[in-house]
Amino acid sequence: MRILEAKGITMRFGGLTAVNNVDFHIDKGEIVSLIGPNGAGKTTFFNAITGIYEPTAGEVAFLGEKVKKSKPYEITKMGIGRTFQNIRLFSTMTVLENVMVGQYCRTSSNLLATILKSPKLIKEEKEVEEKVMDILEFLELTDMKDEIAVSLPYGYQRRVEVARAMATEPKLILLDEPAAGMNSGEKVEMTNLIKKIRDRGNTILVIEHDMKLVMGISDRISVLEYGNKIAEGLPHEIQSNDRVIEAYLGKGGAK
Amino acid sequence: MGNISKVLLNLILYSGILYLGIIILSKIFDLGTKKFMNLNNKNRKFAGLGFLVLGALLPLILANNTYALRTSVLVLIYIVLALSLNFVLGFAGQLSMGHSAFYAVGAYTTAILTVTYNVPFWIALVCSGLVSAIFGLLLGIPTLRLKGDYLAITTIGFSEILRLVLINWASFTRGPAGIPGIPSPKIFGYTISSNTGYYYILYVLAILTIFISYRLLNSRLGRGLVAVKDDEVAAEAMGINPTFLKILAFVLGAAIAGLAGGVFASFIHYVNPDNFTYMESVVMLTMVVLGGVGSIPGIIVGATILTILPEALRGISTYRYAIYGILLVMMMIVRPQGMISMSSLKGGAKHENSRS
Repeated sequence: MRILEAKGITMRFGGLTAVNNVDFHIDKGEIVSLIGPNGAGKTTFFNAITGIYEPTAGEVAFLGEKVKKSKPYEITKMGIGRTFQNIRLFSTMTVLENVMVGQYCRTSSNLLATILKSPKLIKEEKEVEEKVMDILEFLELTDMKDEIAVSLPYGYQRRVEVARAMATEPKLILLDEPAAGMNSGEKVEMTNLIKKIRDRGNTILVIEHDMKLVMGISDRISVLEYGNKIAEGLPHEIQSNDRVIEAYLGKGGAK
Repeated sequence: MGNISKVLLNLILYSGILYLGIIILSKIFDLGTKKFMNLNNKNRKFAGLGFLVLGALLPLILANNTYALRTSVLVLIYIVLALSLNFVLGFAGQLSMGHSAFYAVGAYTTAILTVTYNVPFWIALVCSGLVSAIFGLLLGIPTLRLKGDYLAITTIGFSEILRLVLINWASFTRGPAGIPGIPSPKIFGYTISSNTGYYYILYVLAILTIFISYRLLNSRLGRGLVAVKDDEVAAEAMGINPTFLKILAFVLGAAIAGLAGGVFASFIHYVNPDNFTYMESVVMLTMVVLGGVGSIPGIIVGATILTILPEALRGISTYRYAIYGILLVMMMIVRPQGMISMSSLKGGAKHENSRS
């Protein structure tokens, strides 16, 4: 099943073409990575396909429906959950609360129900807690659920962020540089974690710099350079692609 | 020259006293919070109930001391006001510096309805809450797109405009002369005019506010609000519409401040624009900051201290607002999280779990 399909995405800011006629798709259960040197237009491309920007040209379909320009919270509600490049956990909340916030867009009790503690609210809260505990169990965070999230070690903070994104019940999870700032041990853990999340039936789009991580997890890789897609394929194809090597190492680097 | 140096000397002296006071109070409250957090759930409920009963019995204890009783009524009014500001400042994290405007709207609604239109107090009081809520909504929709200082300036502007309207729209509000003769409320044909009566009305209102605060804090909406306060970008990525939640908090805070205003108007039987100056907003803000932004027990403590303190220090009342200023600055330096901070309440919970 096709989760997301983008055709001929072009994004211009004034005279600058940040993304130029890029095609992209991701199927259910895939891990697809988007890589490229700094300034290649990865983030712009991501913003264009999720509707934060309206592409200058081209069309995006998410689950078969055309993506319109929307607010970030509408995108999450639509079914795209994300983590951030620089970890953005809610600093006054515990791990459990952080992840519970992810369920916000899947619940609906209003102010009156909250104050009166209506039966619907009690039921909803119970369901939220069950779902969240399930996710925490899956990501092995149960032991630290009552710790203040930002007081955890870096690797665990990432995990909480992933848990939070999963709690929004996304059809597509976007991980924006999940290994940024991690040591090699944490990177290995992250690799296993991403695979594990995929094996649970999730679809994952990774934007990443770390080649080792990307090569280890991806079913498919797309490479951007100066806004153009210069390569797409399986990890080993990308590894031996001359244009990719050139983009990363400069001319003559392949020799 | 002599005068200035005397004032400066006094201010330095007060700064020193405040500094020491804050440190000592911090220690006391740290200890208290820790003790409380080490209690198990049942004992905590028991302690909470104890405070509740103590609050209910206070008028009987103070029955012969009119002055103390009157001060207690004021304490309750400020607890309600500070908690209502906390919805905006503590839950949604929006710096509203014009909260006295909603207090004023509430007070004037009750005053005008009961005096000019002879509406019974209780109906007028409900209208106070509603009208304030409407003002909150009207102000919130355009201004809550702003953040931090910009929002603060806009809300100050709003409260000043409102005060000027109250002064100048003499045909409706009787201008600077104010509205005298606001009647006392009646219950079952019984007129409540004693301090004790007002104490209980406000006691109920305060409990209601505390109740709503806790229910909200431990709910989906409350978590959403705190998420918006902690990190708006991340909150939006969690599917939260921050503008909606901020307006919700603003309207709720405005409505409760309006109710407090309505009771206040009836309590002093007279309203006048001078009761609702910008300084009133600053006082509420100081209470919230002193107690601990977002922490409900902290704010109750903050409102209590800052209502009793000026009464106790009548002798140096000329320095009152200067002291509020120094206090705010000192708090930011010495103890920015407030006397009973939100995180200490949570840290206690963690502590308990790790032991069990």
